[in-house]
Amino acid sequence: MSATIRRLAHLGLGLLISSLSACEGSDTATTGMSGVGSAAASATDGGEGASTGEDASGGDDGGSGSTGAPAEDDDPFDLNRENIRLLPFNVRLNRLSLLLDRPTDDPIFAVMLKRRYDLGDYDHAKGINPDLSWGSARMAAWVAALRPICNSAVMKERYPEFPIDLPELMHDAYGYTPTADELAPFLALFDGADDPDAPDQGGIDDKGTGPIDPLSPAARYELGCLAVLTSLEFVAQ
Amino acid sequence: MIRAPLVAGALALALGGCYSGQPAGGSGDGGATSSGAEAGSEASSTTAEGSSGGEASGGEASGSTGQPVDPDPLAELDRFTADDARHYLGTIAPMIVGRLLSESEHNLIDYFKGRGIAPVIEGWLEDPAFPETVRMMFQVKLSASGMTDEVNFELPGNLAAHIAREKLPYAEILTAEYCVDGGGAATPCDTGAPYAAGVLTTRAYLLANASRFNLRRARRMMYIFNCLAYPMDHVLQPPLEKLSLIEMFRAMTPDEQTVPEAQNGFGNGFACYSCHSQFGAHAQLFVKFDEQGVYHPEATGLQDPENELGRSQNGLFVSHFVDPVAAAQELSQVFGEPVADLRDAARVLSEHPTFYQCAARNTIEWTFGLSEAQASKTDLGLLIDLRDRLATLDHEPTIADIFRTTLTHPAVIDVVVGGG
Repeated sequence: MSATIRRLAHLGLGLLISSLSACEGSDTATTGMSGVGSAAASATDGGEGASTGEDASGGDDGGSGSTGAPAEDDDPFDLNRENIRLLPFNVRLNRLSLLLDRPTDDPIFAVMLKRRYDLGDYDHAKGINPDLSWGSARMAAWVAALRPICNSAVMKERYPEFPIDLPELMHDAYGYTPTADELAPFLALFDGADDPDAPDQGGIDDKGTGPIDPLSPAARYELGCLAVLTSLEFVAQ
Repeated sequence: MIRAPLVAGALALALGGCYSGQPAGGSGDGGATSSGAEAGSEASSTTAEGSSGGEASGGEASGSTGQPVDPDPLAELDRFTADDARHYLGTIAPMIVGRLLSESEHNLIDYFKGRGIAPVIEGWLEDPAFPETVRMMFQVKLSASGMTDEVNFELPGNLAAHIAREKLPYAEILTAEYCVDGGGAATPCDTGAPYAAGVLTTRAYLLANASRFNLRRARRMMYIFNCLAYPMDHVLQPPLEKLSLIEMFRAMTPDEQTVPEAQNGFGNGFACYSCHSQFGAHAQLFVKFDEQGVYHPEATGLQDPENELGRSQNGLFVSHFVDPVAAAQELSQVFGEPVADLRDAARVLSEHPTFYQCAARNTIEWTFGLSEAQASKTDLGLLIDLRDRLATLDHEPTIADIFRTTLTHPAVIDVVVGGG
């Protein structure tokens, strides 16, 4: 396994590994996790079946009317922090729209709109209910829909160079300036990228601490962009 | 210069602060430790004094005139720090306005700390994104969105967004005598009924919830708008007389069940009467709407002998009443009050105390991404307090009132920030 792959696996970016390894001809890690940062740390793998808040199927069976018992720990209701709560598709799309200052019907979002039902959107007239679970299929669809966005001129105009502009992207995407600890795993993706003394390739030790793979600058840019916009800080509540 | 939202600025003036909309010195990303933030602290305490007759606690103090003074409505937010406010508002902003906190909102938080929660939310309620949020909330809750060649499933969401946008009473979600088209204009509803009752008289609602005996239509109506499930308290919803029901719904035990089709525990068990004595009254309101949501004045409510149990002729559903005259009527009772039809029933539902409790619960459910089962465990005391706060308004509560009251309640904020 290459150092890049190991670092991605450390970040929990299994899908990115899959998609990029296909390009780079590398072997594939299969962590199946997604997201980075604090939210990812508490996420269970995939999170299938997580509470969606959008139970359209009339899930009132468990309801006890207005006489419901209080939630645990004396909270008046239970946030159920253990489960990932993916933001509704329209909200995620809107966040991307605001990030890039482009309307949601801009061609840059064409793939995302085309795959909106794979991404959890709904159309009851077509029998499609909202689904805000965050499983491997949805993650793969999200990454696929993000790739044209990450590779767009619009993105590169706003955030021309990674890792220099990575903190700004994270700030704009998450709404806060990332701490050094939060930034570190992202920056690690670029370790040695600009080091003229770094070996071209190879020399990877078993701990994944060796020099980075020879990813092209474009692939490295895409990787950073996908990592930020696939994180739970961006896609989940 | 960063300009604060107008409403937020007005609120700030009302609070007696000197908020200029400029950064308080903090970056908006971290703790507020600058002199500007300290000034915000002063502003808060000054405000508390100014509005409470000198008691920073905001209690019911009397001024020099001896007249009672309203307690400072925002004093209960003083215990929240700027970080609390930022964490709370940052958590819920995507679900209310579909975005992160803006720079001007960060400035409000830096300046007013916990009190900043109120003007930020006030600004959201004026944001054009808010009616669209309400649309989504009701689309999801009512399982109604999209269009087919025959049915416009957008009508319920259109009405909800319209009510929010125009600041109409929330009760119109059940009592509006019109529907709303995609452009926001009033349009006749699509059932063909001689009356309208908000979202209830849209084919979208009726079709999405069609089921034998009209059980699902009744169940979802009571659950979505009044958060009530069967069986209900008999004081709240007096049961129908046992002998007024068709035979299969009279049984209280397996031995009492004499209808062969129901002897295997049809539905949810053998104790049919306990729920159907209440179900029956509410299902009756839908007896003239067929499975496509179209109104049939000639509906009989009687079982089609050639069809499965609970189905009448022409795509209609069977009444609970055994008397053919009663079975064909829309006359019924809700919460013990006689009603002429679904429109009358919708009025009763919207006037019941559970209506606003339930609206608050639905707001919590949407905002925090809870499932209905999770939301059903919301503390009743909180919901009653929210309802009582809404009752103090000098007008019928709007959807914005419900969101504002719910999302600025300290107990709701505590859930996110962990006890304040």
